[in-house]
Amino acid sequence: MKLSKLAVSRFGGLQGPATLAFDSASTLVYGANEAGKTSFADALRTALFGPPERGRATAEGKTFASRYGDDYSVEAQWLNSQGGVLRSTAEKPTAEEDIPRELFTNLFMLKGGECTLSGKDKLDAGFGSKFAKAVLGAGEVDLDSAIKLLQKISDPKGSTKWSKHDKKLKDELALADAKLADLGRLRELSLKRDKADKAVAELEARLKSAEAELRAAESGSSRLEAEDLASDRARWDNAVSDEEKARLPADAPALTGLEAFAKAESDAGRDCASLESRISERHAESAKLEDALSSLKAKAEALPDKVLCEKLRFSLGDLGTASSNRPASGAYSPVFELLVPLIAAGIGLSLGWMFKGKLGAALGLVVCGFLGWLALSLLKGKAGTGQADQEKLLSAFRPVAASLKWPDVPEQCAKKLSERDAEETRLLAEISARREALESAKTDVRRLETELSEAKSKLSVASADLSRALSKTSVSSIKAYISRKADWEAAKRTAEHLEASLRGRLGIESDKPVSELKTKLQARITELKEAGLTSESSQLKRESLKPKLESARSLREKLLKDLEASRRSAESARLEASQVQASIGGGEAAILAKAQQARAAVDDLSLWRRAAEEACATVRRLSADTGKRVAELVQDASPIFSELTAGRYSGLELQGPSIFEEESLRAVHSTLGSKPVEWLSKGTQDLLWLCLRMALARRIRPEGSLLVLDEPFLTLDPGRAGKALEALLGSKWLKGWQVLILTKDPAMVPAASAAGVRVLDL
Amino acid sequence: MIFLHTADVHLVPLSEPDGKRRLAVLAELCGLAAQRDGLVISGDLFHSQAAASDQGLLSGLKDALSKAGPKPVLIIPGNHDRPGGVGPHPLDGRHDLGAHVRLLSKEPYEETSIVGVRFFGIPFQTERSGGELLRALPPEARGAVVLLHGTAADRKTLTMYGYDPEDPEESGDSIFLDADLSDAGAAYYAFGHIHRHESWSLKSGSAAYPGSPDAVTVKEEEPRQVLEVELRPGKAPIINKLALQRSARSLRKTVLAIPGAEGEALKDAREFIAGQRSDVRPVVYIRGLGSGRLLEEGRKDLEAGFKDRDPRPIVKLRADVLGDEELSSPGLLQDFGKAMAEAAKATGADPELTARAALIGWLALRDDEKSLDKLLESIGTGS
Repeated sequence: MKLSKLAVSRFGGLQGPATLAFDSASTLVYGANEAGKTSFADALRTALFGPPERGRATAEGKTFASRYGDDYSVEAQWLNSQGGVLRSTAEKPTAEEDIPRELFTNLFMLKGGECTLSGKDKLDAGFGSKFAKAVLGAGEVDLDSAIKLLQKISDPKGSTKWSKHDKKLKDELALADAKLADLGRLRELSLKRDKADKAVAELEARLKSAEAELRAAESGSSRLEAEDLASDRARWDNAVSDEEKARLPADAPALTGLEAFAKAESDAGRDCASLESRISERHAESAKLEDALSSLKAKAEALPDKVLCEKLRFSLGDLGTASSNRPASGAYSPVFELLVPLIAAGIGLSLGWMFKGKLGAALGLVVCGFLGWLALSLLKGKAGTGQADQEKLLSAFRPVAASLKWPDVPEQCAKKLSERDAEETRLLAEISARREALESAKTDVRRLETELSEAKSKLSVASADLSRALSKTSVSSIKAYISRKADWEAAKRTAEHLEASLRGRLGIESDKPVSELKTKLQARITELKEAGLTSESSQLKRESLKPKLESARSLREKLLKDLEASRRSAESARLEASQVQASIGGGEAAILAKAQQARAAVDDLSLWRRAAEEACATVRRLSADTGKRVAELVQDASPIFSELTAGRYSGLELQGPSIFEEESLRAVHSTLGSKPVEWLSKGTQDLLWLCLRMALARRIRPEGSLLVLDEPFLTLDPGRAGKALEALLGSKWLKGWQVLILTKDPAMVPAASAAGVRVLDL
Repeated sequence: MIFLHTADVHLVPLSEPDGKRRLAVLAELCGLAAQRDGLVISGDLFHSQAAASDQGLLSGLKDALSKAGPKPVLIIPGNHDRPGGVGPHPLDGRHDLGAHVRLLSKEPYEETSIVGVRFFGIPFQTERSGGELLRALPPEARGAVVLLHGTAADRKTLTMYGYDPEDPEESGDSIFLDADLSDAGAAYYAFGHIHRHESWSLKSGSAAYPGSPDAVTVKEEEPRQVLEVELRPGKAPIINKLALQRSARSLRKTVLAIPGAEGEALKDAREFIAGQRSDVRPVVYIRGLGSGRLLEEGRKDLEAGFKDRDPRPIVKLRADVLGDEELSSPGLLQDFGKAMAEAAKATGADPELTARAALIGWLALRDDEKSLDKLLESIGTGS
């Protein structure tokens, strides 16, 4: 694309209106300072791309607005590569496809001294790099730096920032995964908690039922205890009453006193008995003696009749053989001797009967009988004494001996008589002894009876004493006293035992009064009765109640323990679950979403790393291409540089791997050899800059286009500048290109003219 | 006993591009259900509250559901029917949808039966966790069918489909774990919520997501279907997939833009859309680098050009768009863009990866560390 016409009006230094015509060949646009060269360049740019955007607060926009205002007009006419004519204005600039703005700015429009005077970067920091950044790229491209940057991103250990972020995301993912895992744990804990809650509910229900059973049992127990207490209280009352009843009066003699009385009585009794016994013995003895006496008397009476014997004795005495043993009395016929007492007895009987009846008869019988016997005896004595003569004596003797049935031998009869006398003497002695003994016995009896009487009197006193003493204790006997005392003591013991038992059961100490015990007992019974109201007495079985109560209590204990354990378990699960829930923080959906986000973020970062790797590979390829292209560019620029330096330099060469390396681009001096371009003079560096841009422009637009050079030789001395201009305008390398050279240097004008280049004087 | 299982119909107002087609898909489903014992819809019948109050849609819905009659249709509310899972919702009986339609919306569950088989519906709710809801089921749920709406979190391949933070209509989720499902012991868990089909066995019984019968999001690229479930006493149910004539699936394509050649990416997009059958909703992502102005204009042109297509295509501009000035570099940056495009074409690389490489390479070449830092910071923040 080439410029054929530029019409401007009120545009900075070109107030015009002016229309500047161009042909396809190059033109030197000359103008002194303030002639409008800068306005010309800006008008051209405005016709191509429009004014800088007003809205943008860029320095360029501001400068443009303040320099040119709004009231200008710019119109350009172009010829495209196919020969077509294009028109463009500030309002309707040329489409960028024809000449992209960047391309024009960076490549097709060069400002003099651009290389050495503009920018902060010193060229000695790397000419090639500077050129590449300024011209090859969009201003700031540094392939090596980009490669390093991308490598840092793609390499997991390359960049601390990326590694840190990567770690952070992975940590978040790990945390989110852990929380997801915690969801399972939370579920288990929830199940555990629910199970424990259920167990608690069941245990509570069972406990309730067990407590009801226990209450029933306790109620029954209370009832029974009430009954027991009531019964014991009744027993206690009875015992107390018994004790009171059995209690001996305060002035009651002690048992020892009673016993003394009793002993006295007993002793007296014993004495009496002893005396009575002795009396009895004596009586018996007397009876025996009387019997013996009777017997002796009978024996004496059985002796041969005394009268006969006396007669005999007399006879014997008379005969000479009489003996002192002769009987004293005369002999009477037995019938006589029998009749006399019997008649006397009959008379006595009759007289007694007449006066006194039976008793009188008996008495008369005895007395008269005795009197009869006595008279007979007297008669017999008187009869014996009247006999004398032997024969008379013998004749008298024999009948007497015959009466005595003794042999009628006087000697024998004398012997017999002696024997009979001896016998009679002995019997009489014995009778006498017996009579004395009998008398003695009777005396003893009398004495003993006196003693007995005294003893009985003593006994009576003792009995009266005892009786009096017993009457004080209202008992009839000491036995009864002892029995009563035993009863009293037993009742007392029972009462005391029951009281102690009740005190113990009610917890009332022994030093507390009985009234308190009674009050509390009554209260307790009432209380227990009330507690026992719910129990049905019909169901109460004392023997089964206790095990029931114990079993209910032990069940309750066990349930309470289990309940406590279950509650602890539930509480622990609840606590743990709430901790897990808190550590998870948020609902399940949020956690899942968070985990997915975290995973996506980790994947995302990983994908960016891979993308950096891909990009890095591409940039490497691009770098290799660029190196190749730069080498070609240097090769292209080499003869141009030689031409424009008028042969002082034979060309350019590259050393090292890349143009971006310092001192890699070298200029080959015709005589001094190769040296890094950074060592060249500023003017020569600018010239080299121009050459490289020309070479690049030729590569981008091989068919040629518009090239605007604004003071291209600003930093060259006038001699070298002129030669360079000549060389430039005559260069075969710019064949087909429309070159507009803007300059304020009047020395350029003749040089241009000499080269056959049109000069436009502003 | 054979019934059909669907979910996530996501009815939208009839005025919206997908409104009529979704209703037609539901009518087709109901027609199929009339030949079985019934139909269960496991949540998200409506896409939004706006849909649930569209009178035209409600009238059409009743007509569509009537095609199943007299066979029962069981419906539970999902998170779209009842945002947040609390409070009243359009499936609480306020609309007359027909005598054969049973709305199971009582919390924590509602029971019904079809030909003697018990069905328990767990409406979408968030006051109880999924585990708690399953544990709340009565013992009779063992061996029954349970309708539920939420994410089966142990289905790792599915969970990524369950969460879309960009969707403003998403409001809450219920999480169900396989262990809880097994414990509850249902014969079949009729899931809804995730729009992708999957069925799996549990210790006792089976569970399945039918997938949405009509693609709701751009991710839903698999063929759409409804599940036919045959319950067999004492045995695992037989689950068949029945194809649907009226439904559409999504199909995504990424076209890579490069600076200076944005037109080519737009051309690729146009050709892709035009080449799809009517049961496909073409979804184009324009990625890479390019002129924002050109790409946005191109995107609008594409949408306008296919506005009458059913289902209407979706064109999303996901390129890292740059200002014209940034793009008018003469040298290496443009060369880099071209090199990236050529490399991607040559290797058949993932367009997503290429697009990212283009951006990150671009930033590296510009030595734009600030932007790279911003990019790094954006990872994991969802921005």
